[in-house]
Amino acid sequence: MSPEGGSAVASGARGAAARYAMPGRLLDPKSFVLILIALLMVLDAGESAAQRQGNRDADCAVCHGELELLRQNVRTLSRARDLLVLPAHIRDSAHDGMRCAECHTGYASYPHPQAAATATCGSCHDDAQHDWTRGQHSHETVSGETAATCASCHGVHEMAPVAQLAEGAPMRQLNARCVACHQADALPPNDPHTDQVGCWTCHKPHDVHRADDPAAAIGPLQQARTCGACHDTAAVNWRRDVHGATTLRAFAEHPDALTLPVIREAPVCTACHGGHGMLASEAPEFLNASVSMCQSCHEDATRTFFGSYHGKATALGSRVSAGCHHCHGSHGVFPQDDERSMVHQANLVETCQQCHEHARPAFVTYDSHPDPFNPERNIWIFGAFWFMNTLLVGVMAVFGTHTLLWWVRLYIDKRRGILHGPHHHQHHGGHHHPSDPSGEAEQ
Amino acid sequence: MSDKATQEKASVLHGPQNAESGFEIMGPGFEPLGAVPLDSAQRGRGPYIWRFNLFHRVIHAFAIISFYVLILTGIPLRFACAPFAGPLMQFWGGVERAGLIHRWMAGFMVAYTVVHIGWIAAKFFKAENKRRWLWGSDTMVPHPQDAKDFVAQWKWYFGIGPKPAFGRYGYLEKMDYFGEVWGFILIGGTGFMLWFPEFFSRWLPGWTMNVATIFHGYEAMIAAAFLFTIHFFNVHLRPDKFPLDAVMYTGRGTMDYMVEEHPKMAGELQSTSQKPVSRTFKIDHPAPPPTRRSTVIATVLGFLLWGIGIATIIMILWALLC
Repeated sequence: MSPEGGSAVASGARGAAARYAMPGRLLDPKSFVLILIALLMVLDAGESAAQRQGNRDADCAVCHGELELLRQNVRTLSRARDLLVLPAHIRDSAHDGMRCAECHTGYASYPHPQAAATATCGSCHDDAQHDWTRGQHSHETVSGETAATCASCHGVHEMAPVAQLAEGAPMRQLNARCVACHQADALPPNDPHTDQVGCWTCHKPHDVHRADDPAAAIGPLQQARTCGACHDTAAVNWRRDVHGATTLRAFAEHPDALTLPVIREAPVCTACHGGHGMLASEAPEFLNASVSMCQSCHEDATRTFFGSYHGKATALGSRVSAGCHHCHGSHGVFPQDDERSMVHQANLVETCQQCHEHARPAFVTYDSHPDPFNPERNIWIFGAFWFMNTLLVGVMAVFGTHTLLWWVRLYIDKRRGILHGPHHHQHHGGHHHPSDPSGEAEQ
Repeated sequence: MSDKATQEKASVLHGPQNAESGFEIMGPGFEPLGAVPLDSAQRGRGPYIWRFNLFHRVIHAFAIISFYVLILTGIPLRFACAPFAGPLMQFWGGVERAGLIHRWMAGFMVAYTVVHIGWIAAKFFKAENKRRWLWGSDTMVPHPQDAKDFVAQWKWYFGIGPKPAFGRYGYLEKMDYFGEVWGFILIGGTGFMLWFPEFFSRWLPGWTMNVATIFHGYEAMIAAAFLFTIHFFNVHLRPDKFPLDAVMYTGRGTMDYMVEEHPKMAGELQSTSQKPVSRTFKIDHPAPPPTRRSTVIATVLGFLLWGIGIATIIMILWALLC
């Protein structure tokens, strides 16, 4: 019998079962007895019928449920283990309740044909298959084989239902499968996303691309959407602020923007937050790390910031000092002359009051980015800086010389044998030092 | 060293009452000093003369404690970019803790300064001889003679004049003292501005806090650089005093030491050295020699403090690279 025939019988039987199960069509006792007799006859036909048709799980289990039996028919134990499928494997899996032959279509007869066809996952999951064929996993080969097939990530019989993958152990197990190949990309424990989301939450499940691929979900242009799926407020604010607006305008103006270095460095989500290993904004190290992120573009502003108290305390790991985002905002950054900016003249008092409760208009003339080398920025800061430098150099020059010459003088005296010092003087009594009342007379 | 010189040293050593505290030491650029006391105030012939009373010494100890803690809590913030800044802050338990200690120490400094000023005022009003207090050879008040001595010192360096004869306090002591007064006013004033910026910005524009930051940091750097090089050299590291002078710990020095360092005072003391020995400080009176215990403590503390001081100077120089 051909495999197609077996399949037709199987679907016919399923159709009948479905009809009898329909509510409202109760079986009368006569029909019930007839069916029972028919069923007993089929069962009585026994093993031979099952072997011919190969369409029931029990038939498969005859061989595939017995490791001993499999071992006798295949070359290695590991191959035998691969072929062993127990009911426990399929129970609670995504395909619980489906029969073997629904996927393994070509195996109705025994011995199985050499070139038996297996139904592709795509015959049911065509959307997933479509996405997968566009992604990197289907295009690339590793040691001659497709980089990642359905089974590489989902497993075989025990694959978890999609609904369960959103959290908990199934999500972590699937992540572990990604990490099995992408070992260097495992999320470190301090990453806020670790064990909270699946890899596919950011990288998409099937349409996976390299980070530098324009189609990647984590590409610069897509990030606002990808990250915004969870962090919607941040994404919405970013789109409007100077970082978002600049980025989006650049993309609009340059269709091939992704090839331009300036766009690769565009201030999108990961430019400030980093990718894998990013810090939670509540993490104590975030303050310092975020400044380094801003520094990569705003070098001058960061340099002067590190000259201020805020910058120094931040650099030393203070948890209460101000970083860039405390004053400039995080997803609502605007140029200083924009009225929406936190550092706009009209908003400064309120901005400083976040920490300095009693800040007044006079208070906010404090220069958070002092540049003592620039007299045009503030002549008093410039003046104080140079005055104190002059004083430092002057004092040290005058008294450094004073000290040095003293040493030289004592050295010369020593060479002449008239070194000062109480342990010498009584033996060189009468030399010039005024220990006698003549010293008094000088006054 | 010749046998004759060795004999000279030996006679010095066994002459006065302090032979037991001798160590083999070396002057920088000089041959071995031989077995003479480490504390230069214990070298030479006695009797011991009282120089500093307990109040002087306690205030000076407070100044040391507060200054060292203030400089070591402040320096990592001042040079936050330096490689030692992080570990030093960790030592204090983080930036906030270091800041808290810094402020407590500032409060301590203000407190003992107030006591010190009160003590000086009381001393002045109670002084029988106010003229001596203001203009005598043992005054702390700067007077024109100090400028003359300063010039004379430079002349002496170049061999065109005798070494100036200082009184109880020469221009070096007065300079150290009034340098600290200036530093206290400037660092303290700007420190309070930076402590309470919101309060001070009632009267001052915010950018004065920037100026205050510069004054505070630089004046502290000047103070540290001055104390840990100039003051240390003048007081401890000069070849004729090396390696240290513990007169500020024990409060007393030998007559020879006084004659060498404070000849004018010693001149006055020639007559008073006949007076009875006073166990506690008594001006113009001889003192008993310091105990071995206090000498050892003074030596250990002295080395520890100038070790930290030199380390601080190295830190500042290191930080200037970044």
